[in-house]
Amino acid sequence: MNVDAIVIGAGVVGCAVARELTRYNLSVAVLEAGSDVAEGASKANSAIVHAGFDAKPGTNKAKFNVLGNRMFEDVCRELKVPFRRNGSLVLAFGADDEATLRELQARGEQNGVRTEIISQEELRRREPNVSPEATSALWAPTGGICCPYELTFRYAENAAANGAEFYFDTRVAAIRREVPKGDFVGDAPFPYRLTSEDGREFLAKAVVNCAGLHSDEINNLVSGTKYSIRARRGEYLMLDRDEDGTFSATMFQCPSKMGKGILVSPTVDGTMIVGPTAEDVDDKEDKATTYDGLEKVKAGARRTYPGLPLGKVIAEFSGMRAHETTVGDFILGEPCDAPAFFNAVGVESPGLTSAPAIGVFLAGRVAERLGVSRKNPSQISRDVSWWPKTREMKPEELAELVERDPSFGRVVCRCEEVTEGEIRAAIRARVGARTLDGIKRRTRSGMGRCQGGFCTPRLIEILGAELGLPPESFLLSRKTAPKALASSARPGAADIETTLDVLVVGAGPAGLAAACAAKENGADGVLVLERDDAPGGILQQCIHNGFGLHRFKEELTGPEYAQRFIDKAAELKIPVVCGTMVLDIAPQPDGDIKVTAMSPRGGLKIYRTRSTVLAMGCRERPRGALMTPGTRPAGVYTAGTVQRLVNMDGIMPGRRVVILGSGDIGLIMARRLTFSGAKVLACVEIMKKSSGLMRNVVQCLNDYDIPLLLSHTVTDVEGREHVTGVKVAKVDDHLKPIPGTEIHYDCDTLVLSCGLIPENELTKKAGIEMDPSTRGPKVDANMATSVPGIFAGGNVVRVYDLVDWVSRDSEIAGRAAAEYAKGRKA
Amino acid sequence: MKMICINCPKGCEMDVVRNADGSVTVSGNSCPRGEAYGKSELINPTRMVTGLVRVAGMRKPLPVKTRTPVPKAKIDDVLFALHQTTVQLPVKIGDVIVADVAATGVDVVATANM
Repeated sequence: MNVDAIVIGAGVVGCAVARELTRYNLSVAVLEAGSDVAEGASKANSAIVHAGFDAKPGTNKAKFNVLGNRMFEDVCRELKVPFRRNGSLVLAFGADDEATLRELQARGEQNGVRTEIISQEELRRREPNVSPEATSALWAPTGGICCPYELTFRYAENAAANGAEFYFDTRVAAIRREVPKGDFVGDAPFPYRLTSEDGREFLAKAVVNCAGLHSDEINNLVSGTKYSIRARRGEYLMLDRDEDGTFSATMFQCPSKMGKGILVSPTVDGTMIVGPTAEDVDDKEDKATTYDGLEKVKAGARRTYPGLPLGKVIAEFSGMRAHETTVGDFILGEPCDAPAFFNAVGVESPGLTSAPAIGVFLAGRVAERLGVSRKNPSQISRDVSWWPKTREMKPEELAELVERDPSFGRVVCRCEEVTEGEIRAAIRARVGARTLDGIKRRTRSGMGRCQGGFCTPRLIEILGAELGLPPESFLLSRKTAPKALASSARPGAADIETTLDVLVVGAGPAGLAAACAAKENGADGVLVLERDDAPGGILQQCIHNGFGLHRFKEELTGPEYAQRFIDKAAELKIPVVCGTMVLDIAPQPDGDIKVTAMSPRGGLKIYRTRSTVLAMGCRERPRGALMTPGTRPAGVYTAGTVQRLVNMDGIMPGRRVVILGSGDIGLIMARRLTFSGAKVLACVEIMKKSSGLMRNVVQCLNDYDIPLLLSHTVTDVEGREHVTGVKVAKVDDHLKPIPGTEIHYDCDTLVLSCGLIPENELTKKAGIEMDPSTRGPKVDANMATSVPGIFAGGNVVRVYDLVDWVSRDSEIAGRAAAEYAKGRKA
Repeated sequence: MKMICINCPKGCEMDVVRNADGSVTVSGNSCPRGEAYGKSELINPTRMVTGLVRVAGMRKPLPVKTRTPVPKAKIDDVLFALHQTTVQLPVKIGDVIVADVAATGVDVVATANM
C-alpha cells in the first residue's frame, strides 16, 4: 500500500492530524497498534480543556495549549462533540499556596491567559460544596471540559469521510528510509517504507509520528536524535450522575511540594471525575489501578470536597501520560536528519487541549514539505457519522425518530438510556465499533452506574448480529475482536391503550402481583409496562429452586414462580406490554400522573393514569462500586450477568472462576458454573460471615467443596485482554488487606456478588422522597410514596431476601393504588 | 453430626445423632421438615437438581428440574444425562424431559414454557 502521508497512532493527536491532512490534496492512512481509536492516553485522562496558565511560558506546551483552547468551540461544533467552558479554579489552602497562585497568574499573563484571584467568600458563593479550608482561588474562565474519546472518534470519522484509511491492529515495527541522506524531494517517490509487526508494508511520502507512549520508539527507528518516554500513570475515580452540579467549575489544587494535587471536576456527561495520581511506571501498558493509588485519590479529593461520597463511585480506572524525559516539552516537527518525518513526541497534558492546534500545525508542515495545496472547500465533507442521542432529544423529536427507525425506541443500556439504534449506528460508522469497549466509548452504553451489568448480554448479541460473529466471541476481550461483515434487524413488539386507573412499571413478580391485586380490588384500567422482551423479571434467569415456600407451600424454580403470576395476570386480562421502557413519571397539577414510555413499535407514548405502582426491581453493585484494584480486562462480571449469560443465552463466560462476595446470587452461580463444567476456585468474602443464606452456603459451596474464604478480599486483578488471575488477601478488622497474606489464583473469570441496590432513577425523577438507608423510596404501611398516587413494591423499595415477601408487599401496593384510583374517580 | 438445614431460608443449625438402636434423633430444628431433612441427610442425603438442556435450533436453553430430590451421589449422573439431552419445542411447565433420570426413579421436568 502506498499513500502520501501516514499517521502512526489513532489517539486524539493522530486523528486530529489525519483529519487536518485530509484538508489538503493528499492521500492519508492511519496505522494504529490497538484495535480502535483512542486506545491509549486519549481514553483515560482528566478530560479537561486547560486554560493555559500553568505551562512554562515559551514552551510548545504553553503555545499549543493556548492555541488549542481557543479552537475548541469551533472544532467541537464542527465535529458535533459536547464541550463546555465551565471555567477552572485552582484552590489555595493557606499563605504558601496563595503565593503560588500569584505566580500562576503571572505565568498566565505571559501566556496570554486571563485569570483572576478570588476571595474565600467569593469562592464559597460560587462553589458551596468546596472545602472551608480553601482560602482563595485562581479563576480561569477559559478552562473547559470535553469528552476525549468522543473528540477522537469524531475526528477519525471526519478524516475517514474525507478519504483517510484506518488500519487497526497494525503496530509499526520497522521504518526504512529509501534515500539515505539529504533532501529527497523529487528523488524518491515514496521514501519511507513502514513494516508492521505482522509483515505488511506501507509506503509513504511523509510520516507523522503520533504514537503517544510509543512515540519515542517510532522516532528512534528513524532519527539519530533519540528520545525517551516514561509512562506516567494516573489513577481516577468516576462518580455517579447524582453528583452532577456539585461543582460547576473544574477544581484544581495548588501545585506544591506535595505534588500537583488531585482535581475534582464535572464531566460533559454529567458524572464527576476525581484524580489523578502521578506515578512513573516501567511498563507502558500497565494500566492497573492500585489500592494505594485509589487511597491517594480519595484523600486528595477530600481536601477539595470533604463530602466526597464514596458510595457514588461507579468506576475506577487509570490512564497513561507520555512523559518525555530528555526535553520535557512537546516535541513537534521534523528532526534534522529525517526530512518529511514529523514528530508529535511527549504529548502529555495539556495534550487534549493542544490536539486541535497540533493537528493544524503538523498537517500544514506536511503539506508544505510535499508541496501540496488545500482542497477546495466544496470538496471537503463535514460528515462525522453523527447519530441522534435519544436521551438528549425532545419527546416529539424522539417520537418521530422511533417511527422512522423503531430500533431507536429500544433501550439497551438502562443507566445511560442508550438505544439499540445508537449502538447499531456506532457499529456501522466509518470507523465503527468492533468491541464492547468500542461501543461503550462511542455511545456510553455500559458506562453508567451498573457498568454493563444489564446491557452486556444485549450488546454482544447486537455486535454478533451486525458483524456476523458468535456473540460470545466479544467476551474474550473488551478491546480486541475479529473483523467480519453482516447485518440484520429484528422486529419489535407491542401496542397499547391510554386511560388508566393503575399503571404498573415492571412485570417481575412485584409488578405482576401489584397489577393482579389492583385488578382484583376494582381497578378497571390496569396496565403493566415491561422493558424486557418477556414478563417475569429477574426470576426468568433464576432457574434454581427454593421460591414460593410461604406463598404456594411448595418449592418452585424462578421461572415456575413467575409463570404463576403471568398466568394470573392473563386470567385477569391485564395487558402486559413488553419491550417498553418508561422514561419519565411526572405528577400533574390535576392529580393525574403522566407516564412517558418508549418502545420500538409504539414509539414514544404518553399515558395518563390515576395511580402508578413502581416495581422496577434492583441492580447489582458493579466492580467500580467495590473499588477493586488491578487491570480492567474482559472476564469480570456481576453474578447476575453471568446468570443471564448461562441460563438464558446459553453462553459460558469462563472455565476457572473466582467469586468475590458471598451474596446469594454468587453462591447460586458457584453451583451453576460447577454444573456447567467450570471449576470454581474460591468464594471470597470480605466480611466475617457470608452475606448469603446459610442454606446456599451448604448446598452451593459445601456440597461441591468450594472454599469460602471469610475476611478475605481480591486485592489485584491481572490480565491485559482477559483476566489471567487474581490475588486474594486476608483483611484486618478495618477491612484493610494484610500484607503477606496474598494467595494467587490462575483464573479466567471473576464474578462479583457484592449486593444489590434498588433501581430508582424514575423514582428520583418523579421527585419522590428517598430513604437513604434502603436507597429506595420512603413508603408508608400502604406502600405509598411521598407523591400522592405513586406506590412502590418489591426490590425497588428495599432489597428483599425472599420473593414471597416481594409479592406480598407489592399486593399491598396494588390494592392501595386501586383504592386511590377509585377515590379519585368518585 | 452437626448440620445446617437447607429446607428454608432460616437455616436451622441442627444436631443429628444415630442412636444405638439404629434410630435417628434430630435436635435444633424448628419444624418437622427439619427433622425429616436431618434423618435423610444422615442416611441418604438427597438434593433437588435444577439444570439446563439444549433446545433444538436455539441458543437459549430450557430450564429443568428433577421432580423430587435425587441422591446426592447421583447428581453427576443426572447432569450428564441432561447434557446428553436436546428437546424439541414447544414445551410446557411440567412436561417430562427425561424419564427416570440416571435410574433414580425420578423424572426431569420442564420449568418454563417455551
